[in-house]
Amino acid sequence: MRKTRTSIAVAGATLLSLVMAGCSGGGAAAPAATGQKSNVTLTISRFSGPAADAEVKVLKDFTNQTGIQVRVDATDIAQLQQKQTLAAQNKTGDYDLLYVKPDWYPLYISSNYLLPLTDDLKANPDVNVEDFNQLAVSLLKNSDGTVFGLPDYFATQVFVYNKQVFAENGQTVPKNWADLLAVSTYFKNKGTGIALPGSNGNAMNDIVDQWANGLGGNYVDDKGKLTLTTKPVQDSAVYATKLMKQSLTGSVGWAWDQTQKAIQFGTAPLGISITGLVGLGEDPSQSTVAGKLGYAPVPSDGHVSGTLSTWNYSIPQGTKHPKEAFQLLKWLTSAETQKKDIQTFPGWVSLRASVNADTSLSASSPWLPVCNEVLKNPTLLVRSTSGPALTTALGAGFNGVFANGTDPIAMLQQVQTQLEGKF
Amino acid sequence: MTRRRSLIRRQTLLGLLLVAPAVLFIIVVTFIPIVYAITSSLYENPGLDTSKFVLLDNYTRFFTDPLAFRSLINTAIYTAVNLALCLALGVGVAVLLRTFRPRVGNVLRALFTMPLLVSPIVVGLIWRYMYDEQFGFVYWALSLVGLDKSFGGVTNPSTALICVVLADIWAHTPFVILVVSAGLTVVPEELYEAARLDGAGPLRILFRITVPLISKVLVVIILIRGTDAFRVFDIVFALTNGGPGNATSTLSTFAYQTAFINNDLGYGMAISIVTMIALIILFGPLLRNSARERKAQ
Repeated sequence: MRKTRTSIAVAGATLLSLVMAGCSGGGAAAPAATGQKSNVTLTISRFSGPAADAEVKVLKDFTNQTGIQVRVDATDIAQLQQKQTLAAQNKTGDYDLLYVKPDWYPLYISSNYLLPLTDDLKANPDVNVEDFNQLAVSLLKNSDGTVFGLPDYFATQVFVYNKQVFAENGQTVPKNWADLLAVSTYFKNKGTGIALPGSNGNAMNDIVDQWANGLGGNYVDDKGKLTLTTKPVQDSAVYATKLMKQSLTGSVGWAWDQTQKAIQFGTAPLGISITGLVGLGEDPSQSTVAGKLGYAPVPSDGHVSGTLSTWNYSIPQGTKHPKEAFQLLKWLTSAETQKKDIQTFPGWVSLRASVNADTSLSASSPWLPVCNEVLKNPTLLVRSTSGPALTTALGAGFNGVFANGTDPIAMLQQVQTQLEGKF
Repeated sequence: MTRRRSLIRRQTLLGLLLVAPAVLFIIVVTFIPIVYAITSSLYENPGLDTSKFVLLDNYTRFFTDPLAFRSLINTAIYTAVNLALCLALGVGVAVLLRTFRPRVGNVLRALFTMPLLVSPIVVGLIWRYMYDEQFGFVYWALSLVGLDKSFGGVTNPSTALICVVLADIWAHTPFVILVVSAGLTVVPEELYEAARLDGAGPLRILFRITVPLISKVLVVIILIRGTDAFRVFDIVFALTNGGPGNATSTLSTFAYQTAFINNDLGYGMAISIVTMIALIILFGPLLRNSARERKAQ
């Protein structure tokens, strides 16, 4: 009797589970539609902000496709390297993917913080490394050519102007330094001026560096020696000082965010902003000049340039899931995902040629043609373990020159003397 | 006798056993990080494969580095001005609030203490926009009296440090108001009445009665606010990032920048240790004296 009852119970349970399986949409197609099951949770260490929010949205697709959960540990950009370094030094295994700036690679590679990707890339030719900007990829390799990361995101400087105000005042888009100074002086005399990021930080460093690059120079030469006293760097610094005098009052203390606000609130009719923020100017809920802004390369006396400020994904040593981490890295840097990134966050710029060639994206991101032009001859950030010390010294130096009205050439000479032994 | 001695020994052992976890905890959370910092300050690139023992080189570097000297001077000025203004304003407002009816005094005290609830990094960001020459409240208010053009704010090296001090005072004077208000509750009202009957004015009452009677409270405030101001980081970092130039660079921001931006961890640690030693020299005697007074009582 007991045996019969047990048999009925087992049969009933089996029937019930079959019915439930049938109701769930059926058969082998079910896992593909709703995602495979996985116990793995990957953690990304990256900087916070609108780009991180956009990434969290896009990552839901990855979880749906693979079943792998992804947690984004978004940190303030100022603390990111410190957090990654401490985690790597203590080998905590907290992170599976790191968002890394090119100038951090020398330290990360020499300290053995990162997993080499060369073998994985050979085994996955569909990653199509050739599609990336090769200069950007070269920054992620060590001296023997081992690849330690893939480029994901790119930001550069863009000249932004209010088309309506320019037309009303009979001004045209400046093409060179003289034009830019003239139009800035014109608006300064009318009570506004150009919006510039003159605060103590990297922004003005990068602008001067790209001007110097346009003139055939750079902060360091091909051998890695510091060249702050060369003519292209000095001319660019002197020009930056002149232009700052024609800036909107307050620019000396502004970082990129405040500069962008002056443009998007209509306070400044022209300015130099950065691609990661220019999207705010086209958002009607945050901008009083949406649809009225025009974009052009930053005017220069040399060739068009812009800083190749990239963010790249790498896998840290100590990850508990190297296979899945590479799967996520490959997915995040794929052309399809990068297009989604741009659609989700218009300030996003890819380093894949196939993505940038998609003209349909320019409708929502009208600065993309400028980025394509910049990518033909970009300015590389100083790639040395002493690079951060240089940018700190120059950041404070330029800010001091703008605030005190001191001689930019003397400041460059001082920084050269102070740091040349480290390069 | 032997039984009693054994009981005492057992009690002592029990006491030591009970105190041991707390002592161990203090050693772990207080001394180990300090030992780690001191050790790191004796190395170049501590913790890395390329690390090198350099003995006191990082300390020698501190005393020959013009930026370190500038940061030290800025920190000293910041602490002195901050402490003086915080104490003057805090004691003044607390004494003034005592003259109001209790209900009004309590409401006003609650209002005055609101900035204390704001995190220092947010205070820095709030004041960054308050001092903005295009959108800021400070310039708007000054423009009403025609002073906006002559005020340098945080973009002028000669006014930047005092602007940061003012933001800090806005955030931390409420702490002084609260503590002094608590201290004033133990001062007998009869003393004030007697002084008034003797014809003493408000200033005489303040300096002859109030200040001496709350002197211990003031010592505690000087210790807490003084050490806080000397180690200031958040407000400076958010408001000026040490600029313009290095006009507002303090020892803490300089140490942070050196250790974590310039990746010079050994030198950064040395700067932190020098900061700690300076704090011990400046505030150590005050701490010792206040403890000695308590013991004498």
